Amino acid sequence: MADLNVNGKKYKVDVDPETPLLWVIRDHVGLTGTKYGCGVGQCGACTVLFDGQAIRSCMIPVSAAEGKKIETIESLEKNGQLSKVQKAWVDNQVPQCGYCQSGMVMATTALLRNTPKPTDAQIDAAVTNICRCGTFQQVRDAIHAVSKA
Amino acid sequence: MTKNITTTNTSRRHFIVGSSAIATGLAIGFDFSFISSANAAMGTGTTSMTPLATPEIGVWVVVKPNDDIVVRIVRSEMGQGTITGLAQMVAEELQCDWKKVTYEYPSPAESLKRKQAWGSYSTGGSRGIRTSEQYVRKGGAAARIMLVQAAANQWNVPASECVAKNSVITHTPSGRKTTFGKVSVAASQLDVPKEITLKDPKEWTLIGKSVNRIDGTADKVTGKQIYAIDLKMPGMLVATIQESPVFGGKVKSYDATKASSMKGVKKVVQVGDSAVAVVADTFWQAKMGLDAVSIIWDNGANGEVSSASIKKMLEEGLTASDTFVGNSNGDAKEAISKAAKTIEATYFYPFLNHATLEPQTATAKWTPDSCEAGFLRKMVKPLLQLLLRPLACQLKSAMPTK
Repeated sequence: MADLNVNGKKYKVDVDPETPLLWVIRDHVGLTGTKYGCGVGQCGACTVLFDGQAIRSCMIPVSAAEGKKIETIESLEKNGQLSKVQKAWVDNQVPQCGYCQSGMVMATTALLRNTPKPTDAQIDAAVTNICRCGTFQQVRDAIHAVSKA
Repeated sequence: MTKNITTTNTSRRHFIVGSSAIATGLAIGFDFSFISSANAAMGTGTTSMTPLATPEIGVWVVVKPNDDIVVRIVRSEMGQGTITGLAQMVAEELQCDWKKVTYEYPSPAESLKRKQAWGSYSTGGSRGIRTSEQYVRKGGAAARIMLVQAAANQWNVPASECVAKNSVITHTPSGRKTTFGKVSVAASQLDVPKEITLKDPKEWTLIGKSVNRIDGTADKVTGKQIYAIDLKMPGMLVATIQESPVFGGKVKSYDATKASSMKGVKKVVQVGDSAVAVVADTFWQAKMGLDAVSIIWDNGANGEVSSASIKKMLEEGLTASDTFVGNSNGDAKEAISKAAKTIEATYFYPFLNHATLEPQTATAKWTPDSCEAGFLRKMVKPLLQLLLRPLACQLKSAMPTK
């Protein structure tokens, strides 16, 4: 049994403590916006915020997430209003297939909270998510658009 | 890839066949409650179980009385923008208001019923636009001709005196105007013209222009977009599969003792002669179970194939004196030998896994008299034909093989 705080709501889940946080979020909490990509911490499709820090939820056992504040992609839109990052993503037409974009948006959200005006180098260091459609330039443009807004 | 499902009744077995709208997903079923309930459970607002929109003006265009334009798209969206690109082609000839354009996806079953009215559904090799641009543009032009004719009939004037632009039809001599929506029902009853002259590319205002996508970009940044892996049903089990690591290899033997006793694991099964799958309550339990199955493989004839052996084979073929020539123009060897400067380079790609970010998945509901399935799939029709075989068809034979 694990006690979780996901997007401000409390959940009690009955799972093996070694189960990755990703699968608890998807299968037990029931939020599927966080995606399973590589399963080995490489691609970043499963990125969520963990006490404000972007982490790859496929690599974190649920036992390590107890007492932490977990934020997923579903938490960003408030009262029907997209977050600044989400809005910049739409304005800049970033997504192609979109499968990696929840992770991209979460990694960017974490970056901009601490570094509101990142340089390209800071973006490259913080947003290491993989997009097989190749939206990297659009991601970068959208991040700069948020900084300038 | 995203899922968006429509369904249509198809045959005596009450087959309900649907397919993904934006997507490479395909839903095939004999009872559509599964997909609709799965999507309702996911809270997606974009799922459509409704029949195609009306009134249709030819097969490619629907103009609603409120002037909304629905363009029919049958190629799969994988992020490449084909929905938007194809819709631009139709809209260019239709002369409609681009801001009012949406799309819908006629199911492959609807296509079979209507003698493949929309042509090929296959998506790959960047062929969607190249191979269908002529007939989708003609579809847009035909609809425009029918709408103009309907307006001309109402005004009792020759259609040649009327022009369409931005969804408005104008009778030039009198200045009378009407909109596509106002004449769409009348237009839908006219014969589809056969003689169609397309616009000169010099007159294009929409084709070739970069426009915002018309498929749900906002859903892709909020987590609302449903992908094949997101489908869920009450009591659903999850299977995960280990295929032979070598193409053409086979399972020699496997030991499922440990996996079978693990929490959540329901069954360990051999699939065909080349794979072992573990079925469990959740993906993670199935994956842990599969990791615990020890499989002995017979790698077969390809066991020794590697990037190095492929490279050697290609080099042997390329340097062979007696080699296949597909096309010969002039004397290349002679020209190269006389060139002032020659540049030589060899390009070689290693043998790589075609590792998509989105894992290949399929969801099926199997009951004594029905099967309904959702797939991640590029080629919709072959799969449809496969599943429309009698129910004795094996699920394994319908697994995606992208």
